[in-house]
Amino acid sequence: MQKKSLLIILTQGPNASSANQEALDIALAAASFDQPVSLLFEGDGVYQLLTEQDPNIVGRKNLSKAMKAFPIYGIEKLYAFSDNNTLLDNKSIEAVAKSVGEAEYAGLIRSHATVLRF
Amino acid sequence: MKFAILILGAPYSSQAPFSALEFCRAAVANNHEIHRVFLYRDAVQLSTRLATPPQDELDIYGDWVAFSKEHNIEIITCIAAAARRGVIDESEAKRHNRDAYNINNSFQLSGLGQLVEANLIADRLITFGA
Repeated sequence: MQKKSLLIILTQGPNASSANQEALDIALAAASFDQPVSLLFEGDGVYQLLTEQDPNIVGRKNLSKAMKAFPIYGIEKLYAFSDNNTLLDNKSIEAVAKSVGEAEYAGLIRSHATVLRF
Repeated sequence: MKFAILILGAPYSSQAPFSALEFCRAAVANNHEIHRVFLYRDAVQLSTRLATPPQDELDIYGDWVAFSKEHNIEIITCIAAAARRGVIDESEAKRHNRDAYNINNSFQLSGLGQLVEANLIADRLITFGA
């Protein structure tokens, strides 16, 4: 199958809306069609990477489980872009996502064929 | 150029379906091709046939149906996003044991694979967010 690199940018915090769940559904769908997928968590979106969350108490699905399956789908490129250094230093975020600055952020947009922003 | 269109914002509440329609009209008028329109998130509500806006207001639902018919443009509504928001077709109504269905037959329910494929075929995928 033809391949076209896809960058999905998640800018919204977890659980306030369905944005991140529906964005990750696109990531999984694209990856299951063998498309190269990268995820960039930006601003409030970085909070999605914190592992100690219980979204069920606010009636939302726990996306951490889906995100744990990323390597099986071949989704291995996760990036975080934020000016909140305390948040970026959090171990659960450091463990899964690479923190990027403005130049790398621009480079990611340039280097992907398609960019979707949520 | 060949375009694929992704609409995320709801009709009426957001400007996304209107902006997308204006874009598609301009594209077609300039001899570009709209390969497929994919409705996701709240944009799935565009596919209901039960919306009845007041007569002195824009009927974005009817305008999209007319445009797709006139130019033979395929519009796919994400089946999972639609089911969550109460937009279903006859077979989904049977499958989930519901007493009615509401999709306009100008729209076709299907999965995210159709978005992935549209992105592969099109030169550009243009998103209209909320």
